[in-house]
Amino acid sequence: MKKRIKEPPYPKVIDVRNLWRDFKERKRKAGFGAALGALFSRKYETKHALKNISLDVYKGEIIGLIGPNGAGKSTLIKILTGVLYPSKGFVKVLNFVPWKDRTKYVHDIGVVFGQKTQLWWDIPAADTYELHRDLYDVPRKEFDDRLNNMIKMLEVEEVIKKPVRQLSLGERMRCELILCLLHNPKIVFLDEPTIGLDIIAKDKIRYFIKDFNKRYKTTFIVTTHDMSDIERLCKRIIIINRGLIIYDGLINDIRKKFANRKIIDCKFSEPLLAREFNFSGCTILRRRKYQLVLELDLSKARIRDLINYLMTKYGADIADIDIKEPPIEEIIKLIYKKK
Amino acid sequence: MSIFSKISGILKTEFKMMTVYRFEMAITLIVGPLSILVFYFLWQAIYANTGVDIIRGFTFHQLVTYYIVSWFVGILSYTHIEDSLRHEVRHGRIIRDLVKPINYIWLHFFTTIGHRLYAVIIEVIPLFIIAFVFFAVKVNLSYLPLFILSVLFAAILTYLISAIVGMSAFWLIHNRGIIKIKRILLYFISGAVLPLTFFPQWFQNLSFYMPFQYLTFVPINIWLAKYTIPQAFQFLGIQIGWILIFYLLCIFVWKSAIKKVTAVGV
Repeated sequence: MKKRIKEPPYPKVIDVRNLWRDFKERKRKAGFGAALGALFSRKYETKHALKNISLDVYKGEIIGLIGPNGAGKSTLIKILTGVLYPSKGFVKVLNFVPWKDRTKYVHDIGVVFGQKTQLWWDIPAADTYELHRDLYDVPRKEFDDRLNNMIKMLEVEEVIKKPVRQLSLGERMRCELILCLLHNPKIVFLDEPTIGLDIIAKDKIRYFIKDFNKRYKTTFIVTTHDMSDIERLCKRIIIINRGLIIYDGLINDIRKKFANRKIIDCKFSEPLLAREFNFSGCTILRRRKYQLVLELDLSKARIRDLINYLMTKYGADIADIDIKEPPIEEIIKLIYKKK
Repeated sequence: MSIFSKISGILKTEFKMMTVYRFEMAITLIVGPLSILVFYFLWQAIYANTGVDIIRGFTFHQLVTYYIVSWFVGILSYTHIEDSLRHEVRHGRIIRDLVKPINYIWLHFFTTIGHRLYAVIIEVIPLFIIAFVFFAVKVNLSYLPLFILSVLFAAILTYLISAIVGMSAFWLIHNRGIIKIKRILLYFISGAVLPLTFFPQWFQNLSFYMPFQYLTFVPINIWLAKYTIPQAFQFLGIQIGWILIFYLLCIFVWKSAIKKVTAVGV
């Protein structure tokens, strides 16, 4: 296994220490009476979107930032891109304090907010690219080379000539990705870049990011709800929940930590009637007419014993047994629940 | 030069945008002359009924010229900044502009210029043809450069005031009411709908010390050569003063507004 990229030749590009961000939230009950009441008196409640976050990012990493909705991922991304002011804490990205030197700092970063297009809606993406070149002051030759290269890789030769409003989501997202990389940023923030895309479009984008990262040692921070994004792209993930970092480390470490679980997928040739199933250390994940999916805790029981139990219980009815590692989604779900 | 390429980039893009919707463009072409016609017939009736040649210092022909020039000033100083701010803050889209390497106020200032350059071609030229051919509007050439300067200053001042009003969105989220009030108020007290000489004397005195008459009334009067040349220069100076004041105010408000950005769930 490769070692985590932490030691010198890779300089630290993001340094976050004890970062807090609070929001004031208006409290209001539903209903007409409450709405009228809110005209006269309002109650505010302070919510901590980020609680004491600290993290380091090194050059050339692709980091997956995951967490359930409202966990604080977007808030963190917005602070790191300089759009949002933190309540307290220390942040340094590439020797900039993002929200202070914002207009200078953004030269070095690229941002895609998956839900909000940065392309001009009524004109072709190619025109937005030209504007981008002017805004970021990219030399013509460098710009053309990079653009043509990316156009070829993402297969958007024709797409960028159409007005953006006529593009499909997948086409648009590829155009967005090109836009955020045109000025050769050192760090790229991708906020849900594959949301709503089909598998082929997702694959293209993932492959592209991975390749770009390898070639230019560009650092990527990717938020997503799609675990296959994470598995394909990242070595390291950061899991945020309720404003706290609950995990920061390698995906493989998480796997190992939960490696004492196995998923046993049993298929039957005869209908599995309401027969009792009782085996300590084993929980039923799914029960169908011809299928039983089990999770076994290896610290409590041995696989061999479970198989024996299944054989004696169902014997000849068993058509197939498949023993798997738990998928990363399940592991993440467990981590969310635990904290 | 980097700053010039930024500006020209924004202007070019704005031009491309404007050419997308031809129907919208055709409509704006009709609106201008139409509203001038409305004022034309209204005042024709008033002058005919009162039987006098001069009302509050304006002959009928001067008043028609007043409305045509007022429309012209309106076209050149129009800005979308308050609407951009309102939409972008409300829907959280403002973050897209904040990650660009140019100050938001300047970005939209140049977009406005691009927008207005386009309007000059599309709206102002037809307006001039109508003005000179149908209404026999006269140009006083010695006042023309002063007039052009005063319109530019008025446009900048309008932009700054609109930007400041638009920034209320950061605190209020729904600031449509404030924008509407500002529009109606400015429409009257800038002199766009009626020359300020039709207002009570105390209001005219007060107007001298407020920034609003410098948005429309003063530029039109320069066109009409109602001031002496030194007076006109004095007014240009006052315009510059107001621009400085509102520019500083704009920066100040922006600095505290930007801390209010939340864009939750975006």
